[in-house]
Amino acid sequence: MDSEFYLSSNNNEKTLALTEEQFRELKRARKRLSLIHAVSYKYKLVLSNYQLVEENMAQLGELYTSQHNISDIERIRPQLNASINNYVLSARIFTSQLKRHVQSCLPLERELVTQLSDQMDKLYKNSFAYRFVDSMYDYVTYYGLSVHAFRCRSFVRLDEQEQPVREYDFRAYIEREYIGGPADFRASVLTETPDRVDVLALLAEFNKSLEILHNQAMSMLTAVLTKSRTSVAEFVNVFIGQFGNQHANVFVIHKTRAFGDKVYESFPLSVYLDNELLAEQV
Amino acid sequence: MMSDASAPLVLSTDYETHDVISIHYRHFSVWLRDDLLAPLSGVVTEIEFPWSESAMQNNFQHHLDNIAQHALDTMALIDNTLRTENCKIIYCEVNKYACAVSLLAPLPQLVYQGMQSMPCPSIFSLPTMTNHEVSASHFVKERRSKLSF
Repeated sequence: MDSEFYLSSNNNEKTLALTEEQFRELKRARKRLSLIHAVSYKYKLVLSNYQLVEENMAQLGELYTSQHNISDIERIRPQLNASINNYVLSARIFTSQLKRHVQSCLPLERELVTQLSDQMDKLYKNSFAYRFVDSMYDYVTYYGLSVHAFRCRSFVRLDEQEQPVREYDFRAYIEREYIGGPADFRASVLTETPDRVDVLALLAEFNKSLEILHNQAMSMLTAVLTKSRTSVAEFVNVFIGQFGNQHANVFVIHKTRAFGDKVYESFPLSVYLDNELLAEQV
Repeated sequence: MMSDASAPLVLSTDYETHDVISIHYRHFSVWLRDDLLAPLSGVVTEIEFPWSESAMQNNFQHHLDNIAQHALDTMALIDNTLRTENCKIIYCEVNKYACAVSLLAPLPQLVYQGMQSMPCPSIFSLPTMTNHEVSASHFVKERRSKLSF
């Protein structure tokens, strides 16, 4: 099988030939970088959805204090439901793939994956929020509903000038009665579920578990990250050295005669050097 | 006379509120602040306005979104009708069945006489009135304790 390997600028204007060995090295490095980025992106996905939940809660809370704009209330309420749904789904996207991602980056370090696995078991065992959000995935996929009730309270207190000031408190709840029977929700978790679960407090608590998992996975992957980046950076720098910075967006191309001399596979390189991971942000 | 939430909820700082909005029920309640309620004495009279048939349907169609506003409008209407210093609204609650306003007066007759001159708002059927043989503080405390949230 006659194959051709080379580095190419984005518009295919400049190319630099690679040996098959160099190609394999880059392919391996790229795969690992993309997996490590995926861990980071997926974590960011959950945190971003949490922010959306917070924003929708703030909007809705404000709308309920005046109850003036009913059409906005009716508009934001489904948005809040959507944000919570997205949060639950993204949490599952993160947790369900985490071990696989780490394993693929560290194929020979089984005990590290076991450590991560143990950590997940520990979180499941010790945190109601972790168990509950994990179980919510099935409910949410089935019903498309993730919030059942709101409570808006207002109190009057006297400020420094003894003037009465009204203060509001707005919360969203999942109600156990609406979750339904064990057929729709993990029975063991349903048994321990209180009558009402405060959604925002639940998600904030779950975030803590995800942070632990994310940080642990990232610390396992730091060495692989550095090594893969160094390897990719070397090639990219040679390319830029030869063709200049205007060709800094570098791709790897694999053409093969068996595929009619067309591009058989191609993947980007520079993107993994130019993007900062969540774990690296201060 | 009854607005459809044409203005934001405006409520005197004499009162505190509790509002539960759920998939199939809504319960909005308003009460006089503890510090204002404690020194008051008199007889507690509760006026319960059941929703009229058409209002009930309307509320259903609008997801009970406007009932808090209706409750505050009803409170204002009663306040304007009685216009006497010694009758005070101490509690009001509204749900999908009715709106109930409770007043404190030296004599229940004052409330009964005052209400004779008030036409029943079209969104309600004829109200029923009940006297409660408890103190105002006790009445409000007891009602608030029933709030399940």
